Amino acid sequence: MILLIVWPWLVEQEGIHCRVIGMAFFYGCLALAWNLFSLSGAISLGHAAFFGLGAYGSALFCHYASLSPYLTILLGGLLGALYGILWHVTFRKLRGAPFALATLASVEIPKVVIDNWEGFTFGSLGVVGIPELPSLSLGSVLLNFGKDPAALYYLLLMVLLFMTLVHRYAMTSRWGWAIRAVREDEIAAAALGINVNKTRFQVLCSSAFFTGICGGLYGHLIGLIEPGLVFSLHISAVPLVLSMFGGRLQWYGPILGAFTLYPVDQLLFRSLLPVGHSALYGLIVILTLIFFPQGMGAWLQKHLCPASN
Amino acid sequence: MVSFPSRCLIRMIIQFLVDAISLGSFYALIAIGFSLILGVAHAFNLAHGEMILLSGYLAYFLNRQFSLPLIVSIPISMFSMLFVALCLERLLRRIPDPHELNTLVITFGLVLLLQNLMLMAFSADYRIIRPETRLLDIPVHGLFLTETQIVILTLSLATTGIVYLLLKKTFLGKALRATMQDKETARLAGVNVRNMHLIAFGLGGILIGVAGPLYARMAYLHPYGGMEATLVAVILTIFAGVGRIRGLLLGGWILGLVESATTLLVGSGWRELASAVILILLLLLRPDGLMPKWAKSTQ
Amino acid sequence: MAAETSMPCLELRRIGIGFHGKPLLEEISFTVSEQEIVSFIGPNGVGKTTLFNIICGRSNPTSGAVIYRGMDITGWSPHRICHLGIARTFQISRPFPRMTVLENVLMGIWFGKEEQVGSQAGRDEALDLLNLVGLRHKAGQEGRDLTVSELRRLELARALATRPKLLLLDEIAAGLSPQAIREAVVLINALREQGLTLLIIDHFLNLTCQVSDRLIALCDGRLTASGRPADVLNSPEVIRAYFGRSQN
Repeated sequence: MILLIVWPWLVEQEGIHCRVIGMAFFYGCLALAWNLFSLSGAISLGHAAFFGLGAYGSALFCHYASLSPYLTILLGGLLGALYGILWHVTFRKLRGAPFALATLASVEIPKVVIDNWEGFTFGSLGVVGIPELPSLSLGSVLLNFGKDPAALYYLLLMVLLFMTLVHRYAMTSRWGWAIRAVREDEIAAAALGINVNKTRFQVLCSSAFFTGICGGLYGHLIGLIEPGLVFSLHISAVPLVLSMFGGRLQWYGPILGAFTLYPVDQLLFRSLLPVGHSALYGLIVILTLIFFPQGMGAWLQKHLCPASN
Repeated sequence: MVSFPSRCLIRMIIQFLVDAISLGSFYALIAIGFSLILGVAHAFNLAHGEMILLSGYLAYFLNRQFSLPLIVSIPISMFSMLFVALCLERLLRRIPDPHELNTLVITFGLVLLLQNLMLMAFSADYRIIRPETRLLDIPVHGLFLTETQIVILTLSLATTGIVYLLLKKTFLGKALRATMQDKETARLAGVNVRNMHLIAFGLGGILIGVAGPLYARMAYLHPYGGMEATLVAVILTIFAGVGRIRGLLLGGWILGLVESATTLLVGSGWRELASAVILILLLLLRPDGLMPKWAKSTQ
Repeated sequence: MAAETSMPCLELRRIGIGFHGKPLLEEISFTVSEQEIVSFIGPNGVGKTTLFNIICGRSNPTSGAVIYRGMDITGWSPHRICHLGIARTFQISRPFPRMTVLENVLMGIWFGKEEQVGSQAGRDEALDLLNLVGLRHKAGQEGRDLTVSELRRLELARALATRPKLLLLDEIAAGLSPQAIREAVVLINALREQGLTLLIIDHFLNLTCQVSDRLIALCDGRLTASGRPADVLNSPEVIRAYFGRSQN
């Protein structure tokens, strides 16, 4: 933890490491947001829908209404949550594999609409020149997120800490126990007085909201978005892979996945294979499900501190 | 006497129907393999489309390097895909419960893996096997039927017919259908369910091997294009129910018509939207299409 | 055993339900008084469990009404019905498989009785309940590791944890040893002493006759007989349902 805080000072010169770790924080947030929903027992293969809507919502609000990016990112998150409500209403009866298939297909709807609505969304060309996050001054310190990688690093670290708290809350609080009961047996949970429908709704909406926020943030970090990028299978898959690998049922699982896999992917695989390095994620999820179905987190816990189990 | 404009219209309609039916028959061919694997082994193979693309690339490669015609490359790709499918069966046999959902997740990983491997090997360029001759003379005057279309129509219908006869008329087919309908009862009746899994995956692989080269002949290959074929297979399977060959063919034709009509009326950009909406509607309206008896008994 | 003449605990009015167009239950009406123990008998598949599902809000009847203490609760969702004080066990046990036995019971206390999560009082109460059903020594084991008989006892403890006034026991004795059934009889009588109203489904007539005030027989989707256990078991309709139509 302390290491993460002082890290930028140690490697001040090497901007690339700072950036990669910063992005690992970002994908950690995305994985936590995804896992929030998966805690209720459902597997989503379509979180790119929330991500893309968040990214487009934020970028277009910024473009047309000239609002501050901090505000538009929130609006992007709300747009994601709105689509989450739509999921909840439409897919209410679906569970398991049919639900996963429905989520997979539902990414296509906003993607195709944005792709074809050229007058408003700039179609398949995407939105370019999305403004950077404006600088903030905290007392005497000026945080320039656009130019200073260290400032961005701390911003992403803060977001990650916040997401971790949310995720932990969704596992240990009263709400967390309700989510757990819904995951383990929906019918028994209802018979014991848990409002299953409401719990699922809350989890899905918050997961969609935070994924939308991640999408909005992404647009302002990268500076350009296009439908094929933000609605891609890759965006849906990465949080799933990171969470599954790290352990879906540990509060730190998704972060563990992001901290190990993303740097390996970016620093190692990317230099070896410039194209198609994401094959790593596919391979990892297959191996994880076969050898550690509970994820690395559970495996480590079992082998490092067997007493607590 | 029919006046000239209306004759032109009739010809256009016939042309449209022929195109749609040829596309739809190909869709049915795509869906049969998926449906067999799902029905018999209860495995969702999301990488179905990617495997079709893979065999398409194989045929493309054989065509470019050794200028092998389709008639040679199809058997080669059939054998290679048979091998790939059997490997997949081994992989899926080991996964933990819940089985259906985990096959979905694991093949989702396979999608990522294959997409990126194909991206590595063949780059993101669009590729297609160029037909030798463009148009073919056919008796009906003024109707355009490309050689590709004839090849696709014949091969799709022939393969569909063979699988149908296999399922309906042979002893093996009976065992396969019994496994699809109720695994436990089939086992009690002396069917070796594990072998049936192997056979279903093998058959599915062979069908992918037939579909791939045809795909490469008909449409542009792109590493990210596989999901569309998978969605088609899922849609038709839900529409028809697992292992119902005639239903798959009918569904393929309907889907071919709907997609062609969407393309004609609102442009090709909206075609994917049509299939996504159809899939979601089918999932909502026919939840049993994908989950026959075996899912109900677990509830 | 004087039934109170005031308000019945539970009343079903002309309940009907069907699946895939085929009627399963038709015109089922009965009342249950406070602190009464009523058992349902009937052939497999006659709809006894479906009847429980209707009372608990898992299935919606196509016609009729469920009245609990004067309140129409037809079509309420299961968690609201639980908060009214109706609890049940399941025919096929549904523990939370990856929670410990203690946590399973705590779920009932935290959410059914709406106790604060993590409170010491709730924990003590859960341990008391485990003592009552004889699972105290298994408190730390996960739900999926229990035997059938232990699962049934866990379900009972979990249902009691919600502090029900009306308890529905679905196949409580199926698969239990004679010794365990004797214990179950003692337990059920103890529950009656505490003022609970019980509805029981069980094929083990020895148990049902011992504990029940009244038997209700279902046959072909209808209520065919209702009354004291001995009378119902000797009624011609029940004999016909159990031994076939040829016998009289």
